[in-house]
Amino acid sequence: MKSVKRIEAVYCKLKAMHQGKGISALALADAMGLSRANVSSDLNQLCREGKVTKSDGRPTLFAPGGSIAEAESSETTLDKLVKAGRSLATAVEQAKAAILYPPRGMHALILGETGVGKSMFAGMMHKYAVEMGKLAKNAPFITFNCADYSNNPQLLISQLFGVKKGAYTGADVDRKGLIEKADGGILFLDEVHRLPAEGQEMFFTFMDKGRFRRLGETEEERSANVLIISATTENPESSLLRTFTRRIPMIIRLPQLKERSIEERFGLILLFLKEEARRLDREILVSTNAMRAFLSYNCPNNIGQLKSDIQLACAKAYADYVSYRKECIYISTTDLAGHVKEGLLNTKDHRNDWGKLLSMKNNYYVINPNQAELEDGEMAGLDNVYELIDARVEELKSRGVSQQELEAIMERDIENYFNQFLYGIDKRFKKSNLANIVDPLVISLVEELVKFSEARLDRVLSQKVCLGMALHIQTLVERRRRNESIINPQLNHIRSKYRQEFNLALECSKLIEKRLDISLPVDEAGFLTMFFILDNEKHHTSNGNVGVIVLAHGSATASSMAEVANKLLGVDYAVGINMPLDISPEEILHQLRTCIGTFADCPGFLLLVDMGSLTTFGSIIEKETDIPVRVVSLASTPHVLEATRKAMLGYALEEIYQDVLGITTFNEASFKAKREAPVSSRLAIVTVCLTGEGSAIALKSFLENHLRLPENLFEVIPVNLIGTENIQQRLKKISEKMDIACIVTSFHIDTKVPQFHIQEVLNLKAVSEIQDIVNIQSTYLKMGSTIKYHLKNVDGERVYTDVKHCIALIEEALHVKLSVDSLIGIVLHISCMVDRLKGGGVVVKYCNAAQYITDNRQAYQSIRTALNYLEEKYQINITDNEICYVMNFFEIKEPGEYGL
Amino acid sequence: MNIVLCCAAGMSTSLLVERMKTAAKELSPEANIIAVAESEILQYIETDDRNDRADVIMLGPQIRYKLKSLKHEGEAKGIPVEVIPSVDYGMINGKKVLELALSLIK
Repeated sequence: MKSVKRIEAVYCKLKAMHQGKGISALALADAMGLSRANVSSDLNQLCREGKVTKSDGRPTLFAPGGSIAEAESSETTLDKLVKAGRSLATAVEQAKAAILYPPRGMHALILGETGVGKSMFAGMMHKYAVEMGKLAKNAPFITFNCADYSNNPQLLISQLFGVKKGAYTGADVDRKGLIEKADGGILFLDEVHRLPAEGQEMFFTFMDKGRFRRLGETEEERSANVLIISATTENPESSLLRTFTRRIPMIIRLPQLKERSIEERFGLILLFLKEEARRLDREILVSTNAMRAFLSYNCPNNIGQLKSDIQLACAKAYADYVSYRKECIYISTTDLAGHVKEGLLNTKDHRNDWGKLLSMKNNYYVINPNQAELEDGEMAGLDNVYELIDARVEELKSRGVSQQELEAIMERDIENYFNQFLYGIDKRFKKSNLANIVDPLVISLVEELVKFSEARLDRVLSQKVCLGMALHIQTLVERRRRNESIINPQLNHIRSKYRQEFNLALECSKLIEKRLDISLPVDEAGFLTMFFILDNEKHHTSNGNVGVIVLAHGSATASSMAEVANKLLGVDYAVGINMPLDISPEEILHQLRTCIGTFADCPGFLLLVDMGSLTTFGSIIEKETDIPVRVVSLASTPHVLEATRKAMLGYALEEIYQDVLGITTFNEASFKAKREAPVSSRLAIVTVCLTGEGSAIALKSFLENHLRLPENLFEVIPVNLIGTENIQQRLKKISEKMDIACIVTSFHIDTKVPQFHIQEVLNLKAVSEIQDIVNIQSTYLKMGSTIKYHLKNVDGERVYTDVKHCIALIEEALHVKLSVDSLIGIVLHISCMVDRLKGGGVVVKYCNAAQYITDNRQAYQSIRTALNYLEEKYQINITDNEICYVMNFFEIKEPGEYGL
Repeated sequence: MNIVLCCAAGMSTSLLVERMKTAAKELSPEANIIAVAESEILQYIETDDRNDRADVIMLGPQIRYKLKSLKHEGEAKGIPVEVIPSVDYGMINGKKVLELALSLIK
């Protein structure tokens, strides 16, 4: 009997100590305080049983399970846990001991504050016990929270111990308790300090002897083999716990989150993000700053809170993603709860930690649901914030900045870097310093660009240019982030007129792409060129610059807005006219006239006003002076800034006006516009009913409930059959605004659009088919963002739009309507073609192209004409061979075989 | 094992092929994935050289109309022919298409 126990203990200890290489009998004997001979014989016995393998050579090494080499990869749950966090080493050792303690393990009490992961740890102990063969594979792990029933002791006891039929009113059957359910496994009692007095004695008896009675039972004593793991947040010195701890020798203390290392915290954050990514089955991107906040914020409720805060952030980001505010699930600081954001303020405490863990240059982390490792764009190089700061110090020093100044600058830089993510734009204007509104990354990039350009141009660029460029690149980054296109109508003009500057701008553009990890079209080089010629006075005096005048109610509003813009740009350009409330509009109009009189040869004026009568001044001035005037109302500082900047650069009035209007759309409006503007890219499901719109509307809500319709993309439109216009006309009207994906009707309607009978829909037969249509249609609409990631030489979204435009032209010319299936194929084909040609890729051959073209003259002509649009826009040459392939798509083939 | 994707020019599927190849590294390293034009597909069915012959043919949704006739040709040689689901095609979901292809072979 005894030797059986020993052999078990030896086996367990071997497994516990084993770390891949095998263990000698001597080492094992020493660790267990047994004689080597005994251990050795046990090990050889185990070997014969096939539970243990031994190595060749001396000393003989033993390993549990299969071969030694095989065993190397098998690591227990708890070992993995220690690997992930050294601060858990003690707890893990104790847990192992508790589980492996012969014969059936030792009851354990886990202590730790709320959220340190007590339940999770207990779960891992269970898993470990199974891995070590101490518990059967399907051994139960039952969790019970004593707090749940603490105000009803009877119920609690019945839950734990079970009930005999008739024990109390309502106990009409014999019922097993949790203890019985946990037989052969582990019972985890959370918040054990809430176990009421009545339950304690029974429980202690059970713990001591393994015997218990169901509630109401007197005779029969039952037994169950259960390992108890209890947990509490309380001080173990409290009275209850003292009696408890007397019976539970193994007390495992789990450290608080703040006691654990930053690497462990990082590991946990990644783990939780990954869990979310897996749950959503999508990549999650996390900005470096958000990652910093997660690492540093004060998290009193420990891991539990960390997890829920991360989940919350993921949920917010996901909401933005599904509502099309974001292209992907991207967690930025704005998605974080206030107390998490505060983590960014703990800069002093954490700067070194961040430096160790987070790189600075790649702006975000990618958490991939399918991948074990964290992807980190470019970890190598001098890319963390502190090295960057070091570099900046070097640079300032080389400019001969004094130590004192240096410290001041650095302090401000660092502060600004972090603060700008926390406070709104207005606070950033506090100091008239560029670093207050522009990302320091952009600033350092611009400094680099300026250095580079000055060397190439062999002249010094003015401060105005540097500032302008910094602001420009900042907006550029934002534009790209919102996926707005960059189009320079003057591109060819600029390219030919300022050849040298344009070439330089191209190189700068490449540098920007590299540094900020964005892609820029060649148009951008056209804009950058303007900065290099800005200092040549000739350029803008010849055109004349648009005047920027700010008008606002209040005694200093307008002038201070103008002042901020001027200071930030290092110019004296924007003019502010204040309108104190006691002054009449006529008086202000007069002032405005005088002001406009001071501008000579001005090609136009942009008035930025706040509200009221001021908005009408534009047309008055325009009439009086014959100079074009545009008015932007509800203006705020960013408008003035943008207007001033663009006006200085010599932009035309209309361009400035449109761009400034665009700023309003910076936050909410641009997303709104994105969702609502391209009406034609929305889809409709039309329900047609005979009897008024009532049942059509009911059908509408039925469809909305049973279909997964991507929001903002689909609309169910109820229509009644009888009306002033006939149904065809009304469908036509709808299709002018949106594409009709399908029709649900009880009548046959003569149209090519797929239609379903109401009956089929109501009995759910057609629902999956409609869902397929919905999925395919929305895939098509989203293809722009899909191909964006696949095309190398052109902007996918833009190509997508342009290609769609071309296809529409061809469809119109050839009087065909392609199915969505074909559309997906053809969009992919033409987009890839543009990308391929733009990148100088191979030109494909088409067999007998000439013959094919002769046979299909008209199709060829129409397609040639439509594709000409792409040729010009992307400056590529589309050969006849390529056109033949495109023609293939438009051949009308066996209609009716596919109905979409 | 030859997985042959077929579309009008054998070019719009090239992105998908790239994606599938990436996925194949994990799922099925022995798979040889190629894209061919509609006009060339027959030779991948008719050839008697087992190394050249397709083991499965996936059609781009835009040539769905070819399914009937190609399926007929393919069946004679025991080659499954299927249309790539439009959603996977449009999303360039290489992994899903590969999984579908592999499931058809088995």
